[in-house]
Amino acid sequence: MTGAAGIALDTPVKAVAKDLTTPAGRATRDVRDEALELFEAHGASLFRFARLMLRTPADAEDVVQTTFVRLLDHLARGGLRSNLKAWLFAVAANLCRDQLRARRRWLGLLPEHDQLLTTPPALESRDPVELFLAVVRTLAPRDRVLLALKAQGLSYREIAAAAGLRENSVGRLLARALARWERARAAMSHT
Amino acid sequence: MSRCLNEARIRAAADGEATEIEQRHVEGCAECSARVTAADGAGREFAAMVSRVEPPANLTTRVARALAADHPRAGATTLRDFPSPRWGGRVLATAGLVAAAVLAVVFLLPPLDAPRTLSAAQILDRSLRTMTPASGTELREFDLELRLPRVVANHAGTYRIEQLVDHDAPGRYRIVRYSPDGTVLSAISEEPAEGRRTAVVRADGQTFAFRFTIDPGQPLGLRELERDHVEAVIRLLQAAAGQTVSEVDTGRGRRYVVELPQVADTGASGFWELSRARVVVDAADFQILELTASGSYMSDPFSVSFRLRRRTVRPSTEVSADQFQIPLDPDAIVIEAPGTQDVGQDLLAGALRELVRSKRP
Repeated sequence: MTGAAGIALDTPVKAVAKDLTTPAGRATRDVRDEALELFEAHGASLFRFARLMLRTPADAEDVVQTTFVRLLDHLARGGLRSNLKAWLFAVAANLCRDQLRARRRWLGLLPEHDQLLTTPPALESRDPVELFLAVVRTLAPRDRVLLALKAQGLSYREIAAAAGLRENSVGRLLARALARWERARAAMSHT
Repeated sequence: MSRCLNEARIRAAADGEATEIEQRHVEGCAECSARVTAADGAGREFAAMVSRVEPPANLTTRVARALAADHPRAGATTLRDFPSPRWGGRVLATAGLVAAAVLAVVFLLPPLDAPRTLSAAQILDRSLRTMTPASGTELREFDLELRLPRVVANHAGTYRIEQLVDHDAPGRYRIVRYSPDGTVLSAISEEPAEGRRTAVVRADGQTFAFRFTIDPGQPLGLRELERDHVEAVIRLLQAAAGQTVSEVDTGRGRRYVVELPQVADTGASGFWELSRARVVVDAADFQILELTASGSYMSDPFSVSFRLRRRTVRPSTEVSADQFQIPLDPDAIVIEAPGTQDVGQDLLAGALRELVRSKRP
Protein backbone atom coordinates (compact mmCIF):
# COMPACT_ATOMS: atom_id res chain seq x y z
CA MET A 1 0.00 0.00 0.00
CA THR A 2 0.98 3.58 -0.31
CA GLY A 3 0.66 5.87 2.66
CA ALA A 4 -0.90 9.28 2.39
CA ALA A 5 2.50 10.90 2.05
CA GLY A 6 3.48 8.60 -0.80
CA ILE A 7 5.66 6.22 1.18
CA ALA A 8 5.18 2.52 0.63
CA LEU A 9 4.16 0.73 3.76
CA ASP A 10 4.19 -3.01 4.01
CA THR A 11 0.65 -4.06 4.78
CA PRO A 12 -2.74 -2.36 4.75
CA VAL A 13 -3.38 -1.22 8.28
CA LYS A 14 -6.94 -2.49 8.52
CA ALA A 15 -5.93 -5.87 7.11
CA VAL A 16 -3.48 -6.29 9.96
CA ALA A 17 -6.06 -5.14 12.48
CA LYS A 18 -8.70 -7.58 11.23
CA ASP A 19 -6.28 -10.48 11.53
CA LEU A 20 -5.94 -9.86 15.21
CA THR A 21 -8.29 -11.08 17.87
CA THR A 22 -10.95 -8.54 18.71
CA PRO A 23 -9.84 -7.11 21.99
CA ALA A 24 -11.95 -6.72 25.03
CA GLY A 25 -10.30 -3.42 25.86
CA ARG A 26 -12.12 -0.19 26.46
CA ALA A 27 -11.60 1.20 22.96
CA THR A 28 -14.40 0.33 20.59
CA ARG A 29 -13.77 -0.93 17.09
CA ASP A 30 -14.87 2.45 15.69
CA VAL A 31 -12.31 4.25 17.74
CA ARG A 32 -9.60 1.81 16.70
CA ASP A 33 -10.57 2.23 13.06
CA GLU A 34 -10.38 5.97 13.49
CA ALA A 35 -6.91 5.69 15.02
CA LEU A 36 -5.78 3.39 12.22
CA GLU A 37 -7.06 5.80 9.59
CA LEU A 38 -5.09 8.56 11.25
CA PHE A 39 -2.04 6.31 11.23
CA GLU A 40 -2.51 5.73 7.51
CA ALA A 41 -2.72 9.48 6.96
CA HIS A 42 0.06 10.65 9.28
CA GLY A 43 2.11 7.62 10.40
CA ALA A 44 4.87 8.07 7.82
CA SER A 45 5.09 11.82 8.49
CA LEU A 46 5.28 11.23 12.22
CA PHE A 47 8.02 8.67 11.74
CA ARG A 48 10.04 11.11 9.63
CA PHE A 49 9.52 13.82 12.21
CA ALA A 50 10.70 11.53 15.03
CA ARG A 51 13.59 10.25 12.91
CA LEU A 52 14.90 13.79 12.55
CA MET A 53 14.66 14.29 16.28
CA LEU A 54 16.16 11.03 17.52
CA ARG A 55 19.34 9.09 16.96
CA THR A 56 18.04 5.70 15.86
CA PRO A 57 15.13 4.44 13.74
CA ALA A 58 14.10 2.20 16.66
CA ASP A 59 13.63 5.25 18.90
CA ALA A 60 11.54 6.91 16.21
CA GLU A 61 9.38 3.78 15.88
CA ASP A 62 8.82 3.77 19.63
CA VAL A 63 7.67 7.36 19.50
CA VAL A 64 5.23 6.65 16.65
CA GLN A 65 3.78 3.63 18.43
CA THR A 66 3.41 5.47 21.73
CA THR A 67 1.84 8.46 19.98
CA PHE A 68 -0.88 6.31 18.44
CA VAL A 69 -1.48 4.41 21.67
CA ARG A 70 -2.06 7.78 23.31
CA LEU A 71 -4.30 8.80 20.43
CA LEU A 72 -6.40 5.71 20.99
CA ASP A 73 -6.77 6.62 24.63
CA HIS A 74 -7.59 10.20 23.71
CA LEU A 75 -10.30 9.12 21.27
CA ALA A 76 -11.70 6.50 23.66
CA ARG A 77 -12.09 9.15 26.33
CA GLY A 78 -14.01 11.34 23.90
CA GLY A 79 -11.21 13.87 23.53
CA LEU A 80 -11.43 16.75 21.09
CA ARG A 81 -11.23 15.73 17.44
CA SER A 82 -10.42 19.13 15.98
CA ASN A 83 -7.03 19.20 14.27
CA LEU A 84 -5.85 15.78 15.36
CA LYS A 85 -2.86 16.14 13.06
CA ALA A 86 -1.49 18.97 15.22
CA TRP A 87 -2.38 16.95 18.33
CA LEU A 88 -0.39 13.96 17.04
CA PHE A 89 2.68 16.05 16.28
CA ALA A 90 2.46 17.79 19.66
CA VAL A 91 2.41 14.43 21.46
CA ALA A 92 5.24 13.10 19.29
CA ALA A 93 7.30 16.25 19.93
CA ASN A 94 6.86 15.81 23.68
CA LEU A 95 7.82 12.15 23.48
CA CYS A 96 10.93 13.02 21.47
CA ARG A 97 11.83 15.63 24.05
CA ASP A 98 11.49 13.01 26.80
CA GLN A 99 13.65 10.59 24.83
CA LEU A 100 16.32 13.22 24.31
CA ARG A 101 16.38 14.00 28.01
CA ALA A 102 16.65 10.31 28.85
CA ARG A 103 19.44 9.86 26.29
CA ARG A 104 21.37 12.63 27.93
CA ARG A 105 21.12 10.94 31.29
CA TRP A 106 21.74 7.39 30.22
CA LEU A 107 24.03 5.81 27.75
CA GLY A 108 23.33 2.15 27.18
CA LEU A 109 26.47 0.05 27.13
CA LEU A 110 25.29 -2.46 24.59
CA PRO A 111 27.36 -4.60 22.25
CA GLU A 112 25.88 -2.95 19.17
CA HIS A 113 27.38 0.38 20.22
CA ASP A 114 30.72 -0.92 19.10
CA GLN A 115 29.35 -1.14 15.61
CA LEU A 116 27.28 2.00 15.72
CA LEU A 117 30.06 4.17 16.99
CA THR A 118 32.98 3.14 14.88
CA THR A 119 34.70 5.86 12.94
CA PRO A 120 32.28 7.10 10.28
CA PRO A 121 33.22 6.30 6.70
CA ALA A 122 34.26 9.06 4.34
CA LEU A 123 31.44 11.47 3.65
CA GLU A 124 31.29 10.84 -0.06
CA SER A 125 30.72 7.12 0.56
CA ARG A 126 27.81 7.68 2.91
CA ASP A 127 24.15 7.45 2.11
CA PRO A 128 22.87 11.00 1.40
CA VAL A 129 19.94 10.48 3.75
CA GLU A 130 22.26 9.36 6.56
CA LEU A 131 24.48 12.32 5.84
CA PHE A 132 21.46 14.62 5.94
CA LEU A 133 20.38 13.14 9.28
CA ALA A 134 23.91 13.53 10.63
CA VAL A 135 23.86 17.22 9.74
CA VAL A 136 20.40 17.68 11.26
CA ARG A 137 21.59 16.04 14.48
CA THR A 138 24.18 18.76 14.92
CA LEU A 139 21.37 21.31 15.28
CA ALA A 140 19.80 22.29 18.58
CA PRO A 141 16.63 20.33 19.45
CA ARG A 142 14.42 23.37 18.97
CA ASP A 143 15.76 23.95 15.45
CA ARG A 144 15.18 20.31 14.66
CA VAL A 145 11.60 20.42 15.96
CA LEU A 146 10.77 23.47 13.89
CA LEU A 147 12.36 22.22 10.69
CA ALA A 148 10.94 18.73 11.06
CA LEU A 149 7.42 20.01 11.71
CA LYS A 150 7.58 22.42 8.77
CA ALA A 151 8.88 19.70 6.49
CA GLN A 152 5.78 17.67 7.37
CA GLY A 153 3.58 20.47 6.09
CA LEU A 154 2.33 21.89 9.38
CA SER A 155 1.14 25.48 9.40
CA TYR A 156 2.76 28.07 11.63
CA ARG A 157 -0.19 27.80 14.01
CA GLU A 158 0.20 24.02 14.22
CA ILE A 159 3.95 24.32 14.64
CA ALA A 160 3.47 26.84 17.43
CA ALA A 161 1.05 24.50 19.19
CA ALA A 162 3.28 21.44 18.82
CA ALA A 163 6.53 23.18 19.74
CA GLY A 164 5.11 25.33 22.52
CA LEU A 165 5.98 28.63 20.83
CA ARG A 166 4.15 31.83 19.98
CA GLU A 167 2.85 31.75 16.44
CA ASN A 168 4.43 35.15 15.76
CA SER A 169 7.88 33.73 16.52
CA VAL A 170 7.70 30.74 14.22
CA GLY A 171 8.79 32.50 11.00
CA ARG A 172 11.82 34.13 12.62
CA LEU A 173 12.91 30.95 14.38
CA LEU A 174 12.37 28.85 11.27
CA ALA A 175 14.44 31.24 9.15
CA ARG A 176 17.29 31.03 11.63
CA ALA A 177 17.00 27.25 11.94
CA LEU A 178 17.18 26.86 8.16
CA ALA A 179 20.20 29.17 8.01
CA ARG A 180 21.92 27.12 10.71
CA TRP A 181 21.12 23.91 8.83
CA GLU A 182 22.66 25.35 5.65
CA ARG A 183 25.76 26.41 7.56
CA ALA A 184 26.08 23.01 9.26
CA ARG A 185 25.69 21.28 5.91
CA ALA A 186 28.35 23.48 4.35
CA ALA A 187 30.67 22.90 7.32
CA MET A 188 30.23 19.13 7.14
CA SER A 189 30.83 19.05 3.40
CA HIS A 190 34.17 20.76 4.05
CA THR A 191 35.14 18.27 6.77
CA MET B 1 5.04 51.28 -1.52
CA SER B 2 5.31 49.30 1.71
CA ARG B 3 8.65 48.54 3.32
CA CYS B 4 10.70 45.50 2.39
CA LEU B 5 10.15 42.41 4.51
CA ASN B 6 12.48 41.28 7.25
CA GLU B 7 14.00 37.82 7.47
CA ALA B 8 11.07 36.34 9.43
CA ARG B 9 8.44 37.69 7.05
CA ILE B 10 10.42 36.55 4.00
CA ARG B 11 10.34 33.09 5.53
CA ALA B 12 6.60 33.45 6.14
CA ALA B 13 6.06 34.51 2.54
CA ALA B 14 8.04 31.48 1.32
CA ASP B 15 5.91 29.27 3.55
CA GLY B 16 2.63 30.79 2.38
CA GLU B 17 2.04 32.44 5.75
CA ALA B 18 2.45 36.07 4.71
CA THR B 19 -0.38 38.56 5.07
CA GLU B 20 -2.15 39.85 1.99
CA ILE B 21 -0.28 43.18 2.20
CA GLU B 22 3.07 41.41 2.49
CA GLN B 23 2.22 39.15 -0.42
CA ARG B 24 1.36 42.16 -2.57
CA HIS B 25 4.64 43.78 -1.63
CA VAL B 26 6.60 40.70 -2.64
CA GLU B 27 4.87 40.62 -5.99
CA GLY B 28 5.87 44.23 -6.63
CA CYS B 29 9.39 44.17 -5.19
CA ALA B 30 12.09 42.42 -7.19
CA GLU B 31 14.46 42.22 -4.22
CA CYS B 32 11.95 40.68 -1.83
CA SER B 33 10.70 38.41 -4.54
CA ALA B 34 14.24 37.09 -5.08
CA ARG B 35 14.70 36.61 -1.34
CA VAL B 36 11.43 34.69 -1.09
CA THR B 37 12.50 32.48 -4.00
CA ALA B 38 15.82 31.76 -2.27
CA ALA B 39 14.12 31.06 1.06
CA ASP B 40 11.60 28.83 -0.64
CA GLY B 41 14.43 26.89 -2.29
CA ALA B 42 16.13 26.15 1.04
CA GLY B 43 12.86 25.04 2.62
CA ARG B 44 12.00 22.81 -0.30
CA GLU B 45 15.46 21.30 -0.29
CA PHE B 46 15.13 20.43 3.38
CA ALA B 47 11.64 18.98 2.90
CA ALA B 48 12.83 16.96 -0.10
CA MET B 49 15.57 15.37 1.98
CA VAL B 50 13.11 14.60 4.78
CA SER B 51 10.78 12.89 2.34
CA ARG B 52 13.60 10.49 1.48
CA VAL B 53 13.62 9.15 5.04
CA GLU B 54 11.85 5.81 4.68
CA PRO B 55 9.65 4.45 7.46
CA PRO B 56 10.57 0.84 8.28
CA ALA B 57 8.53 -1.81 6.53
CA ASN B 58 7.13 -3.27 9.74
CA LEU B 59 5.91 0.00 11.22
CA THR B 60 2.31 -0.53 10.11
CA THR B 61 2.15 -4.02 11.58
CA ARG B 62 3.73 -2.88 14.80
CA VAL B 63 1.38 0.04 15.37
CA ALA B 64 -1.69 -1.88 14.25
CA ARG B 65 -0.87 -4.68 16.70
CA ALA B 66 -0.29 -2.18 19.47
CA LEU B 67 -3.64 -0.53 18.82
CA ALA B 68 -5.46 -3.85 18.58
CA ALA B 69 -3.95 -5.25 21.76
CA ASP B 70 -6.14 -5.80 24.80
CA HIS B 71 -4.10 -3.25 26.69
CA PRO B 72 -2.41 -1.12 24.08
CA ARG B 73 1.26 -0.83 24.76
CA ALA B 74 3.50 2.11 24.33
CA GLY B 75 6.95 1.91 22.73
CA ALA B 76 9.67 -0.64 23.29
CA THR B 77 10.21 0.50 26.85
CA THR B 78 7.30 -1.77 27.71
CA LEU B 79 8.24 -5.43 28.00
CA ARG B 80 6.96 -7.50 25.13
CA ASP B 81 4.86 -10.62 25.73
CA PHE B 82 6.68 -13.92 25.84
CA PRO B 83 5.18 -16.71 23.73
CA SER B 84 3.13 -19.06 25.87
CA PRO B 85 4.70 -22.49 26.49
CA ARG B 86 3.35 -25.47 24.60
CA TRP B 87 1.63 -28.34 26.43
CA GLY B 88 4.30 -30.98 26.25
CA GLY B 89 6.93 -28.58 27.23
CA ARG B 90 6.74 -29.21 30.96
CA VAL B 91 9.46 -31.79 31.16
CA LEU B 92 11.48 -30.04 28.55
CA ALA B 93 10.77 -26.75 30.25
CA THR B 94 12.06 -28.09 33.56
CA ALA B 95 15.20 -29.41 31.88
CA GLY B 96 15.48 -26.16 30.03
CA LEU B 97 15.19 -24.20 33.23
CA VAL B 98 18.01 -26.20 34.81
CA ALA B 99 20.15 -25.72 31.70
CA ALA B 100 19.31 -22.03 31.62
CA ALA B 101 20.23 -21.67 35.27
CA VAL B 102 23.59 -23.36 34.66
CA LEU B 103 24.22 -21.20 31.62
CA ALA B 104 23.23 -18.12 33.56
CA VAL B 105 25.63 -18.96 36.37
CA VAL B 106 28.46 -19.75 33.96
CA PHE B 107 28.00 -17.02 31.41
CA LEU B 108 25.72 -14.36 32.75
CA LEU B 109 26.73 -13.80 36.34
CA PRO B 110 30.35 -12.75 35.79
CA PRO B 111 29.41 -9.82 33.57
CA LEU B 112 26.86 -8.62 36.12
CA ASP B 113 29.58 -6.49 37.63
CA ALA B 114 29.80 -4.62 34.39
CA PRO B 115 27.34 -1.74 34.17
CA ARG B 116 24.66 -1.98 31.52
CA THR B 117 24.09 1.73 31.41
CA LEU B 118 26.11 4.69 32.49
CA SER B 119 25.14 8.28 32.84
CA ALA B 120 27.47 11.19 32.19
CA ALA B 121 27.59 11.83 35.93
CA GLN B 122 28.50 8.20 36.62
CA ILE B 123 31.28 8.24 34.04
CA LEU B 124 32.67 11.39 35.63
CA ASP B 125 32.32 9.91 39.09
CA ARG B 126 34.31 6.85 38.07
CA SER B 127 36.91 9.09 36.50
CA LEU B 128 37.28 11.01 39.72
CA ARG B 129 37.70 7.80 41.66
CA THR B 130 40.35 6.50 39.26
CA MET B 131 42.31 9.74 39.33
CA THR B 132 44.29 8.38 42.25
CA PRO B 133 45.31 4.72 42.12
CA ALA B 134 45.06 2.76 45.35
CA SER B 135 48.66 1.58 45.23
CA GLY B 136 51.81 1.55 43.16
CA THR B 137 53.97 4.31 41.79
CA GLU B 138 52.26 6.40 39.17
CA LEU B 139 54.04 8.36 36.48
CA ARG B 140 51.97 10.90 34.59
CA GLU B 141 52.92 13.48 32.03
CA PHE B 142 50.38 16.01 30.87
CA ASP B 143 49.85 19.44 29.36
CA LEU B 144 48.02 21.98 31.44
CA GLU B 145 46.84 25.40 30.43
CA LEU B 146 45.20 27.58 33.04
CA ARG B 147 43.56 30.95 32.58
CA LEU B 148 42.42 31.67 36.06
CA PRO B 149 40.37 34.25 37.92
CA ARG B 150 42.29 37.04 39.60
CA VAL B 151 42.00 35.47 43.05
CA VAL B 152 44.12 32.48 42.06
CA ALA B 153 45.92 33.99 39.07
CA ASN B 154 49.36 33.00 40.37
CA HIS B 155 48.81 29.46 39.01
CA ALA B 156 47.88 30.64 35.51
CA GLY B 157 50.03 29.65 32.56
CA THR B 158 50.83 26.91 30.09
CA TYR B 159 52.84 23.99 31.38
CA ARG B 160 53.94 20.48 30.76
CA ILE B 161 54.00 18.61 34.01
CA GLU B 162 55.65 15.32 34.84
CA GLN B 163 54.83 13.75 38.15
CA LEU B 164 55.90 10.58 39.87
CA VAL B 165 53.88 9.66 42.95
CA ASP B 166 54.36 6.67 45.23
CA HIS B 167 50.85 5.88 46.48
CA ASP B 168 52.23 3.30 48.91
CA ALA B 169 54.41 5.82 50.76
CA PRO B 170 52.61 9.04 51.72
CA GLY B 171 54.62 12.13 50.80
CA ARG B 172 56.99 10.38 48.37
CA TYR B 173 56.82 12.12 45.02
CA ARG B 174 58.54 14.18 42.39
CA ILE B 175 56.81 16.86 40.35
CA VAL B 176 58.53 18.78 37.57
CA ARG B 177 56.90 21.69 35.79
CA TYR B 178 58.22 22.61 32.36
CA SER B 179 57.57 25.62 30.18
CA PRO B 180 56.19 24.91 26.68
CA ASP B 181 59.79 24.98 25.33
CA GLY B 182 60.90 22.24 27.75
CA THR B 183 62.75 24.41 30.28
CA VAL B 184 62.33 23.35 33.90
CA LEU B 185 60.33 26.09 35.58
CA SER B 186 60.08 24.52 38.98
CA ALA B 187 60.25 21.15 40.64
CA ILE B 188 59.71 19.61 44.01
CA SER B 189 60.48 16.17 45.32
CA GLU B 190 60.20 14.56 48.70
CA GLU B 191 61.64 11.40 50.22
CA PRO B 192 60.13 11.22 53.75
CA ALA B 193 62.04 8.06 54.67
CA GLU B 194 65.29 9.95 54.19
CA GLY B 195 63.95 13.20 55.66
CA ARG B 196 64.69 15.00 52.39
CA ARG B 197 62.80 17.52 50.33
CA THR B 198 64.17 19.29 47.28
CA ALA B 199 62.62 22.33 45.63
CA VAL B 200 63.97 23.83 42.45
CA VAL B 201 63.08 27.22 41.06
CA ARG B 202 64.46 29.06 38.07
CA ALA B 203 64.86 32.82 38.05
CA ASP B 204 66.72 35.07 35.61
CA GLY B 205 68.14 32.02 33.87
CA GLN B 206 69.66 30.67 37.07
CA THR B 207 68.58 27.43 38.75
CA PHE B 208 68.28 27.51 42.53
CA ALA B 209 67.93 24.23 44.38
CA PHE B 210 66.79 24.18 48.00
CA ARG B 211 67.58 21.04 49.95
CA PHE B 212 65.50 20.87 53.07
CA THR B 213 65.81 18.44 55.88
CA ILE B 214 62.36 17.44 57.08
CA ASP B 215 60.79 15.48 59.88
CA PRO B 216 60.18 12.01 58.39
CA GLY B 217 56.97 11.74 60.38
CA GLN B 218 55.46 14.83 58.81
CA PRO B 219 55.56 14.60 55.04
CA LEU B 220 54.18 17.52 53.07
CA GLY B 221 50.63 16.95 51.94
CA LEU B 222 50.77 16.56 48.19
CA ARG B 223 48.66 19.22 46.53
CA GLU B 224 48.40 18.53 42.86
CA LEU B 225 47.56 21.63 40.92
CA GLU B 226 46.03 19.87 37.96
CA ARG B 227 43.94 17.51 40.07
CA ASP B 228 42.51 20.41 42.02
CA HIS B 229 41.37 22.17 38.86
CA VAL B 230 40.27 19.06 36.97
CA GLU B 231 38.32 17.84 39.97
CA ALA B 232 36.67 21.24 40.43
CA VAL B 233 35.58 21.29 36.78
CA ILE B 234 34.24 17.75 36.93
CA ARG B 235 32.24 18.47 40.06
CA LEU B 236 30.72 21.46 38.28
CA LEU B 237 30.05 19.39 35.19
CA GLN B 238 28.35 16.67 37.22
CA ALA B 239 26.04 19.24 38.72
CA ALA B 240 25.31 20.96 35.40
CA ALA B 241 22.13 20.29 33.49
CA GLY B 242 22.21 19.41 29.82
CA GLN B 243 25.50 17.55 29.56
CA THR B 244 25.61 15.01 26.78
CA VAL B 245 27.53 11.79 26.56
CA SER B 246 28.63 9.89 23.50
CA GLU B 247 30.90 6.99 22.78
CA VAL B 248 33.46 7.08 20.00
CA ASP B 249 36.03 4.69 18.66
CA THR B 250 39.26 6.52 17.98
CA GLY B 251 41.12 3.59 16.54
CA ARG B 252 43.22 3.59 19.72
CA GLY B 253 40.37 2.49 21.91
CA ARG B 254 36.88 3.58 22.84
CA ARG B 255 36.29 6.90 24.53
CA TYR B 256 33.41 8.47 26.36
CA VAL B 257 32.97 12.12 25.52
CA VAL B 258 31.02 14.12 28.07
CA GLU B 259 30.16 17.60 26.90
CA LEU B 260 28.37 20.59 28.20
CA PRO B 261 27.50 22.51 25.04
CA GLN B 262 28.18 26.21 24.94
CA VAL B 263 25.51 28.01 26.88
CA ALA B 264 24.92 31.70 26.73
CA ASP B 265 25.99 33.77 29.72
CA THR B 266 23.07 33.48 32.05
CA GLY B 267 24.10 36.47 34.08
CA ALA B 268 23.67 34.32 37.15
CA SER B 269 25.52 35.43 40.23
CA GLY B 270 26.82 32.02 41.28
CA PHE B 271 30.43 31.73 42.40
CA TRP B 272 31.39 29.16 39.79
CA GLU B 273 29.66 29.19 36.41
CA LEU B 274 30.58 26.63 33.80
CA SER B 275 29.68 27.81 30.31
CA ARG B 276 31.33 25.05 28.29
CA ALA B 277 33.13 21.82 29.03
CA ARG B 278 34.34 18.70 27.26
CA VAL B 279 35.86 15.68 28.92
CA VAL B 280 37.28 12.68 27.07
CA VAL B 281 37.46 9.55 29.18
CA ASP B 282 39.13 6.26 28.31
CA ALA B 283 36.30 3.71 28.23
CA ALA B 284 38.66 0.95 29.36
CA ASP B 285 39.78 2.43 32.67
CA PHE B 286 37.88 5.73 33.02
CA GLN B 287 41.07 7.78 33.00
CA ILE B 288 40.55 11.38 31.97
CA LEU B 289 42.50 11.88 28.77
CA GLU B 290 41.42 15.39 27.89
CA LEU B 291 39.50 18.12 29.59
CA THR B 292 38.69 21.59 28.39
CA ALA B 293 36.38 23.92 30.24
CA SER B 294 35.60 27.58 30.45
CA GLY B 295 33.35 29.69 32.58
CA SER B 296 33.54 32.33 35.22
CA TYR B 297 34.32 32.65 38.88
CA MET B 298 32.52 35.58 40.48
CA SER B 299 32.13 37.06 36.97
CA ASP B 300 35.87 36.64 36.32
CA PRO B 301 36.51 34.37 33.30
CA PHE B 302 38.55 31.21 33.64
CA SER B 303 39.52 28.32 31.42
CA VAL B 304 41.26 25.01 32.04
CA SER B 305 42.76 22.75 29.44
CA PHE B 306 44.29 19.38 30.32
CA ARG B 307 45.70 16.71 28.05
CA LEU B 308 47.26 13.49 29.29
CA ARG B 309 50.41 12.56 27.39
CA ARG B 310 51.25 9.31 29.16
CA ARG B 311 50.50 7.44 32.34
CA THR B 312 51.97 4.30 33.87
CA VAL B 313 51.49 2.63 37.23
CA ARG B 314 54.18 0.24 38.48
CA PRO B 315 54.67 -1.63 41.75
CA SER B 316 56.53 0.72 44.07
CA THR B 317 59.20 -1.91 44.70
CA GLU B 318 60.24 -1.63 41.05
CA VAL B 319 60.90 2.12 41.28
CA SER B 320 64.32 3.06 42.62
CA ALA B 321 64.87 5.93 45.06
CA ASP B 322 66.97 7.95 42.63
CA GLN B 323 63.97 8.32 40.31
CA PHE B 324 62.43 10.55 42.95
CA GLN B 325 65.40 12.90 42.83
CA ILE B 326 65.44 15.99 40.68
CA PRO B 327 68.42 16.07 38.34
CA LEU B 328 70.27 19.40 38.72
CA ASP B 329 72.40 21.16 36.17
CA PRO B 330 76.03 21.70 37.29
CA ASP B 331 75.58 25.48 37.57
CA ALA B 332 72.68 25.24 39.98
CA ILE B 333 73.07 27.18 43.24
CA VAL B 334 72.27 24.75 46.05
CA ILE B 335 70.93 26.05 49.35
CA GLU B 336 70.64 23.78 52.39
CA ALA B 337 67.98 24.63 54.97
CA PRO B 338 65.59 23.06 57.51
CA GLY B 339 62.13 22.39 56.15
CA THR B 340 58.67 22.81 57.62
CA GLN B 341 55.13 22.25 56.36
CA ASP B 342 55.18 25.65 54.65
CA VAL B 343 57.28 25.33 51.50
CA GLY B 344 56.79 28.95 50.44
CA GLN B 345 57.99 30.21 53.80
CA ASP B 346 60.93 27.77 53.73
CA LEU B 347 62.02 28.99 50.30
CA LEU B 348 61.87 32.62 51.38
CA ALA B 349 63.65 31.95 54.67
CA GLY B 350 66.30 29.84 52.97
CA ALA B 351 66.97 32.53 50.35
CA LEU B 352 67.16 35.32 52.94
CA ARG B 353 69.44 33.27 55.15
CA GLU B 354 71.77 32.71 52.21
CA LEU B 355 71.68 36.41 51.37
CA VAL B 356 72.66 37.36 54.93
CA ARG B 357 75.44 34.80 54.91
CA SER B 358 76.84 36.20 51.66
CA LYS B 359 76.81 39.76 53.05
CA ARG B 360 78.77 38.84 56.15
CA PRO B 361 82.56 39.16 55.90
